[in-house]
Amino acid sequence: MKELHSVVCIKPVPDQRFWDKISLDPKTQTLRRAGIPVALGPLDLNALEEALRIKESRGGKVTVVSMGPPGTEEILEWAIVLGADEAVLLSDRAFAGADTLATAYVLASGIKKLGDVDLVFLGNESLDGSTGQVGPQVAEFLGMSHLTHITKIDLTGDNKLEAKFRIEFGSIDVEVKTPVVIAVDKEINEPRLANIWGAVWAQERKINCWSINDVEVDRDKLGLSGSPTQVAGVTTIELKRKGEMLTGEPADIARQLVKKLQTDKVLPEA
Amino acid sequence: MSFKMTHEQELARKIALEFAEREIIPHRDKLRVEDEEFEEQLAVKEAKAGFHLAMIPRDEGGTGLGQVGRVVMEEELSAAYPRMVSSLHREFAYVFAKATGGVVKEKWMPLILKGEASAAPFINEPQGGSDLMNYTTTARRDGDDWIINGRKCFISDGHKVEFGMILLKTGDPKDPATRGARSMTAFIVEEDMPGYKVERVEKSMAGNLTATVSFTDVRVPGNYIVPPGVGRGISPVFLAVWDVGRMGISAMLLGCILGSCRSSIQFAKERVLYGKPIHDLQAIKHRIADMYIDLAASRALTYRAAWLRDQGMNSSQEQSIAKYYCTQAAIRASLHAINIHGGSGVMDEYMPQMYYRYAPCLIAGGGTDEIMKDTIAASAINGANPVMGANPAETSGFYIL
Ligand SMILES: Cc1cc2nc3c(=O)[nH]c(=O)nc-3n(C[C@H](O)[C@H](O)[C@H](O)COP(=O)(O)OP(=O)(O)OC[C@H]3O[C@@H](n4cnc5c(N)ncnc54)[C@H](O)[C@@H]3O)c2cc1C
Ligand SMILES: Cc1cc2nc3c(=O)[nH]c(=O)nc-3n(C[C@H](O)[C@H](O)[C@H](O)COP(=O)(O)OP(=O)(O)OC[C@H]3O[C@@H](n4cnc5c(N)ncnc54)[C@H](O)[C@@H]3O)c2cc1C
Repeated sequence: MKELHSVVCIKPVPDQRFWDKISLDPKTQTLRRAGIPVALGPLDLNALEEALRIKESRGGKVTVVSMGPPGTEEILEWAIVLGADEAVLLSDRAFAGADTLATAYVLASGIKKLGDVDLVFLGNESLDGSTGQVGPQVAEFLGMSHLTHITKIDLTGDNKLEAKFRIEFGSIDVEVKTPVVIAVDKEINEPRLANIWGAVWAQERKINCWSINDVEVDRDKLGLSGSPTQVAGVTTIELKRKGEMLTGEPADIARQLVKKLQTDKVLPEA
Repeated sequence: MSFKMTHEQELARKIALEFAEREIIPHRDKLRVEDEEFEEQLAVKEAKAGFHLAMIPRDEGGTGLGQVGRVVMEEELSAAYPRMVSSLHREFAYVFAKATGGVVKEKWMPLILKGEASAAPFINEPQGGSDLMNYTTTARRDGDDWIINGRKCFISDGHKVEFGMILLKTGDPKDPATRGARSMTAFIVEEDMPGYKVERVEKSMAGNLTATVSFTDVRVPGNYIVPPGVGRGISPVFLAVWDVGRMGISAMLLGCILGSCRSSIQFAKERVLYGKPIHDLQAIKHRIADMYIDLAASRALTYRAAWLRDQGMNSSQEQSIAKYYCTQAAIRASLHAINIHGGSGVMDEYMPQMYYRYAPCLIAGGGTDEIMKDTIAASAINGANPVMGANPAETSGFYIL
């Protein structure tokens, strides 16, 4: 069987352990992220896991690609710790401020430069932006088919595979030819824990940093100015609590409480 | 001189921490009741994660992370739950197999690399561990083989290990050439040799840590003698006790201190008294400070002793100092943790009592407090440089990293 080259797109997202430290700047309408460590998004871990399993069963290699500011090396390195063979960071001031289309454009240009690619994996949606658009857009730029919400993959031949994706009341099985872009859901696998060899691999395997000069791109399609969508406004929902003291005998309080919860439709009517 | 961890060592800590967060911390209730099935599965997962490969150089199939990398990982794993970390006995296995070489190494090395073999030092005897010259377990020559008779007790994981390095009396008390230290020889013994029997698992205040193993006419081939050879058993046994034993024990004690610190900080932030978290109380703050001072000092001593080994230098004195200090510090820190937690500190579901019960279990293993002090004093009196401490590069070649 042919060995496969898988590319996994991974996005730096704020580490969930520090979410309480993130706030919204009301002036610029952007997140105040300074000092918040970045981590690999949870679905990106599933995407990486699937690629690593394919490498282990079929041979081949796994390359991780990310577009992000300096500092993104940290998540690329962690992907190497988990088993990726190579890593590419697409980073340039010109890429900054990109919407999903401009992001996908740069990612696709990086993947093109890698050459022979059989499978491109992504998370179905990111932890923060969560549009779910990047996968299909990358596929369009690369001229590949794409699959989203994928929960299972079976390699059925040298250049075809079967995949299952979720719909509201069930699932659908499809067969596609490679190369193909696959956006995965959480159910597809359980991401592995790092092996201690990862600490060794991190010293030996390289993170390539590519700027605008290293990829073939049209400058007009990059960054903020190349983005057809712009954020017009961000609204945060304010959560407030209202307190109310119930008094009386315990049994009495319980009755009052149930009634109130029924009125608020938290509990069904008796 | 650098006090900075290498990037590789930092990653090793992070990998161990993530492992602990997923595989140990959510399952503490199973470790608390010594669920054997769970413990076995955890040991297999630890083998797969490769924690035991740090002391094995790259060209022998290990990760070559060295003593510092190893200490850092074992510290994190023990902080999650204090216990005999499975890597410790796999490291013993490596050091014993390598020291013996020949058929022993050929047989065990492939299994050791996969994490499928573990070993313990069979040194201590019931009539008094510190008094080596009074040991009575013997080996008698029979053609090319040797026949072993006697009993060893308090052998850590003695009920689990596949093999061990045993210290035996081979000398003749009437022959001046084979008296004293010259009467002792180290052998490899294997668990499936006829006459090898786990007599009992000893129940300690922190669970089943050790066992008594007896030997009745156990036949061992001559090529199972650990070099340098007959009548030269003390040096290989002691080097193993130091590098694997004392450094590993210090790492587990660091885990007790680190775990005590972490649980206390969390509790002091969550517990509200008089309308404020208790870390606002100066008495609590000072306990936390004391714990951190002990953590910093213990780490400095242990990491340095480990680092010296990674540079190929003898650090037996530094290791004794680290082991002694970490023992005291872990007992102090875990008692502070109990105090900070109030009544909860001694309850089963909270960690402080577990650290407090485990730390003293490590007093005797690898040599008691008094023996540590004796060793430290001996090297001080015999002229070790008190500023630099480290002895010159080792020449025995027994331990190579
Ligand atoms: C209108 C709009 C304006 C924006 N403006 C800005 C801005 O000014 N500055 C700014 O920093 N961001 C901006 N963003 C955010 C940025 O465009 C998105 O973070 C990015 O395009 C990915 O979108 P998403 O998170 O919704 O990805 P999704 O489509 O939800 O992500 C799916 C998967 O795509 C992959 N992926 C996504 N992004 C990357 C990446 N960067 N590298 C590698 N793989 C990736 C991952 O595998 C991920 O799991 C904007 C977004 C929008 C919608
Ligand atoms: C958890 C645990 C794990 C262990 N693992 C192993 C193992 O894997 N392999 C193994 O062989 N052994 C192991 N041991 C045994 C350990 O090495 C011995 O317990 C230790 O050497 C002390 O021996 P002892 O218990 O017989 O005490 P003794 O030697 O009888 O000591 C009694 C007291 O006398 C003191 N004393 C002894 N000599 C002197 C001196 N010269 N000056 C002043 N005071 C002195 C001691 O410090 C102690 O306070 C383990 C023990 C424990 C508790």
